[in-house]
Amino acid sequence: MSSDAVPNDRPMFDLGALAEEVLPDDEGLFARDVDGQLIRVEKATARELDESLSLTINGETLTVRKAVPTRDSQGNVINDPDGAPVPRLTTIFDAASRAFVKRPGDPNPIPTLCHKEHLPPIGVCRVCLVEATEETPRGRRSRLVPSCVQRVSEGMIVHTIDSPDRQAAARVRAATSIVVELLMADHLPADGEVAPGNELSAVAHRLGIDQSRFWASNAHRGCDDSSKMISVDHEQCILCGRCQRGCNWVKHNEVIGRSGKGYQTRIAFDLDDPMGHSSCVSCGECAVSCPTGALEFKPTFIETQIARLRDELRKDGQDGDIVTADELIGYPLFSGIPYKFLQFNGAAVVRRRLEAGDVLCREGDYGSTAFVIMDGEFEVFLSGTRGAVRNRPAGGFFGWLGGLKTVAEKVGGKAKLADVGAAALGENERIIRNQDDVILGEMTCMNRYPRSATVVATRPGEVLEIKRNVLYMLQRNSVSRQILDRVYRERSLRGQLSGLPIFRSLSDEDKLKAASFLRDKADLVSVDPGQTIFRQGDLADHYYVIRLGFVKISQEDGLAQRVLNYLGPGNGFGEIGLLSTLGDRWSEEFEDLRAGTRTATCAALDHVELIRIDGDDFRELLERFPELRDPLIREAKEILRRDAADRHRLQSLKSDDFLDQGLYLAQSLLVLDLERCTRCDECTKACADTHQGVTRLVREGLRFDKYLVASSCRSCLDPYCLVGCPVDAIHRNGDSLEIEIEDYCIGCGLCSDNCPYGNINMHGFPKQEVDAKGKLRTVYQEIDGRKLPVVQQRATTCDLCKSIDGKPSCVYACPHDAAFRMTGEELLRRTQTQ
Amino acid sequence: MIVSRGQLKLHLGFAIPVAVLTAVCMTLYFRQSLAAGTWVGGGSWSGLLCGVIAGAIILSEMLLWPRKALRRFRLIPTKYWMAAHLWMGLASLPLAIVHCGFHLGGWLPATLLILLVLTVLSGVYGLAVQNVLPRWMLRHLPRETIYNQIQFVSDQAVRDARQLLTRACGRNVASIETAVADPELLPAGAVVVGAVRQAGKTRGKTLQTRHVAEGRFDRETLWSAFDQIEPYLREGDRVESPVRQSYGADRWFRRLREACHEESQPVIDVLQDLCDQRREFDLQRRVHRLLHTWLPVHIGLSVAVTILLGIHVWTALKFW
Ligand code: SF4
Ligand code: SF4
Ligand code: FES
Repeated sequence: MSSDAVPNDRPMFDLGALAEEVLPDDEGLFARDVDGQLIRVEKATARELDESLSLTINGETLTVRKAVPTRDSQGNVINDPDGAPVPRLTTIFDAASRAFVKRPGDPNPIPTLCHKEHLPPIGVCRVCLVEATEETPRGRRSRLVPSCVQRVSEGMIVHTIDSPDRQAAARVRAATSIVVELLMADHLPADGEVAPGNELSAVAHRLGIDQSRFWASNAHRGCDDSSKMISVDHEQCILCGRCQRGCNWVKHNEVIGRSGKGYQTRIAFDLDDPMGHSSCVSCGECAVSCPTGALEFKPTFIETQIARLRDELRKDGQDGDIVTADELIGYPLFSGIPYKFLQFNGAAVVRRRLEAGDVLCREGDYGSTAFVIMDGEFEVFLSGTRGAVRNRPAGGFFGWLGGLKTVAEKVGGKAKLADVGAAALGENERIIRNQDDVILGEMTCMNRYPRSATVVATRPGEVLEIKRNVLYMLQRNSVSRQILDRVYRERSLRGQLSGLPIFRSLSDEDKLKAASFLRDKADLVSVDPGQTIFRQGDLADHYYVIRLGFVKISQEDGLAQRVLNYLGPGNGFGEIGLLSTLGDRWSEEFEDLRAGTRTATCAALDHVELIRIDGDDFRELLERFPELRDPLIREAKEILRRDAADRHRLQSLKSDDFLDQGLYLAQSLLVLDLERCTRCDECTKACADTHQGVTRLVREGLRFDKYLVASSCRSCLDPYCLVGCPVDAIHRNGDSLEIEIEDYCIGCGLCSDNCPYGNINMHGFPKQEVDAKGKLRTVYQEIDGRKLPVVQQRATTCDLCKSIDGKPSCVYACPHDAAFRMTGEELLRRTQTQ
Repeated sequence: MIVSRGQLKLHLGFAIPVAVLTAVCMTLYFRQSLAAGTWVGGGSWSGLLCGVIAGAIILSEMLLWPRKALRRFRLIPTKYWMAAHLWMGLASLPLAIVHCGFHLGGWLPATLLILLVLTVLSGVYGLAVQNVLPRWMLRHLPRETIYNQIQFVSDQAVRDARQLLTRACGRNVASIETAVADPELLPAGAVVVGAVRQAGKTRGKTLQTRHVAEGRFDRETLWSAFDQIEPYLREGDRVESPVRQSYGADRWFRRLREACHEESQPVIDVLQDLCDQRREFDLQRRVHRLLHTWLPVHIGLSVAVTILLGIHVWTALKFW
């Protein structure tokens, strides 16, 4: 870049112009590696998570913790191997966000470019400069510091570009402007044509800069048009590293790095390959992350995605108008979502208008959307049962012949979700939601379980129906995440308390009383897969009820760990340890137990949500409602008796493999009876014939007794594959089980990685794009003089032949009556009764 | 198709109507023959009835063929077709025999009948092997894989074994270029190998991680042993190998164990396990052939029967 300044009436940045006491930034001595970037930030200690300090930002005094738990891009706390949260120092930017951004859309007084709150800060662009004054051993000291990486300190006084102290604000503005102008000179297109969503130009606009006062550099870094989805303009790249962190830290694809040095430094794909020839999986995260025009989605790609989504909406017979990215960005709730993401997911938000009495969503449906309430009032009904598709003996002649039919049934096994939900509301207790509640129907997107309530409009209203991936994007932003978390916790608890299993012996009236006693005392906790909830021998301090997920109960028997049971939603545990501390009669009943200690170890098998009731509250509950006692003692004694009986058996009740292999979650396993199966492969051939020549099942897998669990989607109760699809192409809809992958899948492979059982496969299909008339056409390329279709990877998985008629072709085609669809529980039962 | 208690309903649904139909036709035939004092032929009304029904059965049996090709269409679940095919096919033979009036007749009807008998016999053989072999395979071939993947799985086993050896005792000095070590695997100090596991009543293949010690004096012995068994692991019983037969393999591995360090025993276990697996694959190949090669014969005979049936009908109508 030339140092010659363009004549301008604004004063040039000059160190001398800074106030006496303002010194240029001097960071710590030691650099740390954050995702390949060397940055000089100090390390936080666990103790600092509990320590507070006060500081002043733009004249407002606030108290913050010295450190906060490190979170992943979705806001989940990252724990170390011991289960303790990994601390991260609170930065000035964190503090400012807390103080000034209270609602979605509130402006942050600190502009940023290289930093986004869902990414680890690396402090490379220096656009977030603030003036920080601190007491140091050498006296009071003011410095310009990058707020996204600078830790807060006790008594710190911070001025940002918006500070009421006009002189301080001007100083910060001058420094920030220089940084921004330098970036603009090199990285904004010379013709001033910037695409919407260009954050560099937005920051310049905010600072009132129309034009940079510097000449652009003569160095050119070129463009890369090799990807079918994203065009790369290295000239516009400010090397902020957001794409790199998005690719490596958020998506773990490890494709983007850097190459070259000096002015020739640029982002690189693999070993500086063209993007289209690299191992890039085209998940779009880099383009969504990029704050400039350096990584942009190609218009043909966007048009094709929108055309496909529109087709899909039409096919599903859904009404409503698609809300465009330009319109959405105007709504405060969506203002934290990158413009390019909204563009990328062109039809992810649909406006729906409802009349009084219209049903917005039904309980038991597998939804993949949530509703942002724009206007109107809605009534929420928690009743009925949850549906699931099962193969059951058909009636009539074919039934007599052993034929099956596909029926919708309540989710069976231990997953009695509906039982918990259904008991939750009294006859005349109504739940009304309106605009103040912001959102409805978000639970199904967040926990992947069927909808827990039916929602009906009570008067004309309007909602924005958003897809799961938009909700994920909202979770990246802490303010909208807080809103979502709050409503989620509140609704989860409210719906469940009166239906707690320990209340079974109470009258309806007492159930409500007991629920209201617990209302402010119960807590919702989530537990990660594999995490231990408590250990055998631990002090018993809480009672738990499973809201979602499955918990494994095991006991140590000498050196061996024996699985005693596993519990699903709606079941309670942990009462034995609490009951044994109740003295007198209680201790008589449990005399051979060590009072107040856990008799077994409980660990989460998958993502578990628990309602936790403190031990003291639990005991008080028993005091207030003495009729709870006897049934509880009876049940506890029965559990202990069963455990003792199990201890004498050779095999544990539930096979460990059954749990390890996640079969308890399976709602539709493809099971082959190997005594009947002649290995003719008719099932595989039928599957391939039904799905464009690509089979969605592999006749290999674990064997349980004489049964082979073939590799084919199991329609898990909690499908891991649904998490994180960038375009929400994979979901579950309506009242049936199947996981559907839409044609607008971009082939990033995330779902395939996420499926723990290898049941999603990536296959090449001819790529399609919209032509001038808006019709989808196959795209061809010429290779060695031959015209061949461009191949696009797409994920495929078994959809139980929903796209055909809902009868799985594999079962239909088996000539030997050897193929079945069944739940994991059914399989276990069959193997145990053989 | 299995004929077992579990499928009684399915089979009875077809067996009973077919048996009733056959019995009725035969009764009519025997009554007419009794009245005539001789076995009436295909020209009698009852003989003709049996012949027409047998012919119709043969033609409908052939529909199973297009049914297979059109498996993506919902044309009644295939198991019903199979059950019908089985019982109707069996019924066609007695009906055809009475249609002949217990005479072979000219060369055409004689050939037709003989071919029909062979077709039914081949079908019955198929039914028998389908009832016996899958159960046998379940008990004796726990490592069975998809038939046409045997080569792929064997090649993978060779790669696994090579990684394991590299990890256990360093690269093969004799042929460095073939010892492809996976650099990512080495620091982990572990290899992943497929093994059959049994837990209670459950049994199947799982992946297991094994830790193996660093290089030792027996490196060359192990590598040269591997070089000897590699062709067998890849090609199975198509090549000569000391580990081809299980008793020979036991002896061979015992000698190898004696020549190697104590710490190499787990590696030798894996190698022996892979040889056992290969032996099972070979056995699977043979059983698979037994289980499936009758089908082309059955189809060939059926096609011939159908063609001859067409000619038979044509000549019968022509010379009526
Ligand atoms: S391409 Fe975009 S996101 Fe990546 S470093 Fe450059 S400006 Fe940042
Ligand atoms: S469906 Fe799977 S492969 Fe396709 S875009 Fe979504 S996560 Fe990626
Ligand atoms: S936003 Fe803080 S240095 Fe870039």
